[in-house]
Amino acid sequence: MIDKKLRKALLAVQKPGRYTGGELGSVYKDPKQVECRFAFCFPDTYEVGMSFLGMKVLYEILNARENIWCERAFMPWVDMVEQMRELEIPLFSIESKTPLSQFDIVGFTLQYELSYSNILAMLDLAGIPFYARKRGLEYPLIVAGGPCTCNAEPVADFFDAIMLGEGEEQLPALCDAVIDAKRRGLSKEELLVNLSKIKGVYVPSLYTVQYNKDGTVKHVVVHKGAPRVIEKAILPNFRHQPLPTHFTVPMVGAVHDRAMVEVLRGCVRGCRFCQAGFIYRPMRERDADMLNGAAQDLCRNTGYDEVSLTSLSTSDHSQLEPLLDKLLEWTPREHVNLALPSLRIDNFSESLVEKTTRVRKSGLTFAPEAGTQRLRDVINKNVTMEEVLRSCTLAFQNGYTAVKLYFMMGLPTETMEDIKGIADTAQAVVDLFYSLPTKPKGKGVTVSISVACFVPKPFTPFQFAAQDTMEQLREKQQYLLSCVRSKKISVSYHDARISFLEAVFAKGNRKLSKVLVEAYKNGCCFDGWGDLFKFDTWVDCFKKCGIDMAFFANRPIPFDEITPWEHFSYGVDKSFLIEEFNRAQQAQTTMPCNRKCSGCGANKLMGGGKCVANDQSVVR
Amino acid sequence: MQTIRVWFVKRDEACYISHLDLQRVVQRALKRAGVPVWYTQGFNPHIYLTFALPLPLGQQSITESFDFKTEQDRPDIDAIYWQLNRALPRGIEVFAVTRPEMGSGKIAWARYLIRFEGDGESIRKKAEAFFSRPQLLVDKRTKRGGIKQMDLAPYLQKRDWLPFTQGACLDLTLPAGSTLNINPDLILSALEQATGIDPLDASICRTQLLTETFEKFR
Repeated sequence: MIDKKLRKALLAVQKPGRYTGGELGSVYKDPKQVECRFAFCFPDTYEVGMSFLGMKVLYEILNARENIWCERAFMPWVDMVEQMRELEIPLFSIESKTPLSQFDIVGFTLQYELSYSNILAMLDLAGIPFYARKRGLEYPLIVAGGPCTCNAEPVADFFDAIMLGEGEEQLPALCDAVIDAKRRGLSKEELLVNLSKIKGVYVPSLYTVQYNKDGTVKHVVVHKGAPRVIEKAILPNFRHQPLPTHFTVPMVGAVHDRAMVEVLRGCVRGCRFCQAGFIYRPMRERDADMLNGAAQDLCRNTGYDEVSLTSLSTSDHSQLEPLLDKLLEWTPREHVNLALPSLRIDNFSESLVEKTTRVRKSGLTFAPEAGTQRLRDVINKNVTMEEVLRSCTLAFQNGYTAVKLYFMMGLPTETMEDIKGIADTAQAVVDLFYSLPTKPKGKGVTVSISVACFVPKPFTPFQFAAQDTMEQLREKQQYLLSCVRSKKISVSYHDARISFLEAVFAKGNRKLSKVLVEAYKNGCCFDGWGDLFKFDTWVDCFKKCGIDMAFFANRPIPFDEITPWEHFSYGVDKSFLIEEFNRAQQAQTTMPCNRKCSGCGANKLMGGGKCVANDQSVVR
Repeated sequence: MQTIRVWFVKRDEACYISHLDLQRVVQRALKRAGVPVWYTQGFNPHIYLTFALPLPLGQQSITESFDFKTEQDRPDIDAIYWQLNRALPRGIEVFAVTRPEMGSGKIAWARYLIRFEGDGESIRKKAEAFFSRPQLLVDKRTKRGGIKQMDLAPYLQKRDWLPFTQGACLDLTLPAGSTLNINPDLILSALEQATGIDPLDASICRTQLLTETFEKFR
């Protein structure tokens, strides 16, 4: 399967194991025995893609079907891209080394706005035309899923179909529609109409967007009976939804190379900046026994020595402590470590620390997100300074000496007082450490603060907000540095230019597709990788296409404006987002859904009635 | 505690697993196979693994081996063989599980089959003319990252062409081990410079590891 050309390329590049597949758990089938070949494409490197749980979930579900073969493809690193161009090797799947153009379906996952240029690079390397309207049945169906599809408009022109919401049942349904079309010899137009009938599937060519003179959306015309509003797909019974237990185990080190079990989906917190907290609503937990069994199967099937309890907020699982007890019955014996990312400061209990430190001690990470109580109330991050200090006290008493604190800057209503608050918070943690008589002996403390730039995202209450300009953000970054006095505190912050471009694409519309093509043609690729990011090229391309970047990023959106993502629904009502935006202006907080329902509308997704996130029959 | 030596083949996709990555792959395979492995007793317990002789990236081998320690006094060798074969990635196959008779320090020679595609007669002629030169100076990278010039000629004596009808096949034995190790890739690139034979037309397979006295490494 590895021919001479490929061998030549592999010998010339770093880490050739990224391109050769064959890992434990990878699936091989006889192409003659399957009806649908699906290429699951991750528009970033192998190491990043192989850390992504969603790919493992869908790979296992699709390959469980006898008549479907799902293979993987990743964005080759720049050295490999060069070799492939020179040797004329088209982009291939890493299992069978089949060129992508020979698949029935090529599916991309949209995880991050700045990987859009890599999608074009992958299509180009595969010899597949960018625009959907230029592709007939001689090309694979090009589809997309993942969180960024909630505003897929900037890339809508490239895809035949875009999947909103949860893919576990939707993706096999899409494959079935393709199989059906193949069997019956349907035309592409007929197939697309059939796809538009699947829950959560958006067929961009069936929607025409009309614009006002000022560049805002005027109207969306729907064709051929496609739904006026596409509502995301959602699993009917997440509590008992099986977990993947046969990961493909990467041989070239992935970023997150461990067993992962998804303990819950969605989040009850409602932080007003957080897109994941709104688009995955309502929060649903998985059954604790099922989680324990899956974790054990997964470790045994993969040989991993670390299992991570993954979710947006793991400590919100109502059965977390009993689950940990169950896990701790077998993990030490089987030489498996437990990792708990996404803990919340406010329910970070002593027994929880004790249970995780029994296996391994490393740094702790907390995310207060804002430096003052006022601003934390604005963003609805319901965490108090007392809680931060209480959690840090617990951590220090248990032998931790490194704490990482995550913040954002550029949040709505933010003042310089709030920026100073970031430095003050870190200083308070340093002071706390030295005030503790029980602090770890002979060790200093390290407090790292990492400050991201706020990016307003669709389907959050802050979608209406403008992003700070790059100049404002840089000024705030400089001010923060001047506020930090202790050498125990290290500060890192994001490149404001990257966050700016991210905001443009997050809130962009269909006009951006031509900018993407232009930028790709001018060498933009791997934009999320700081050293390869060509900001000036992007700015030039926007100018050339006559599109104002600030229109998308730095302009507040009036409540009555039709947003580019108005024809999508994630269950949460726009009126709720407006209400939350207004509460933010007054620094009023909103209770987490499991304590008090705020009526966001997501209950309708599950057929209405009482929301599962607020089910009082579950013991808390 | 017993030391077990596992013998395996590395080919196809698996040729591109680097030595460092292979260590992790084997650790996970042992774990997945449920083999009763001994862990180091330190602060960070891990599986204790040693490989006989690292294989350069891109080469095949039918004579690789690694050693691990087991807690059991009478380990079930057959069970280890079957369980490991179910737990390894494509291209890595266990063909024997033994008790080590020699330490890897005993390795002094490695034998390779180098198979060339193309016109066998012409390749043999060109290569023989090259190999028969009294002096063959090449640049060899040293462990410290420098470059040292060395003469390959004295090390190319143990060679033989196999009677292949398609292409040509060279059976070559080269010094190997910790004191002097000559990578066949070095010879192929010198051959390319002298004769233009493309190293990509050749595939390398390690077939045997031998001691100083040309005994089979066991």
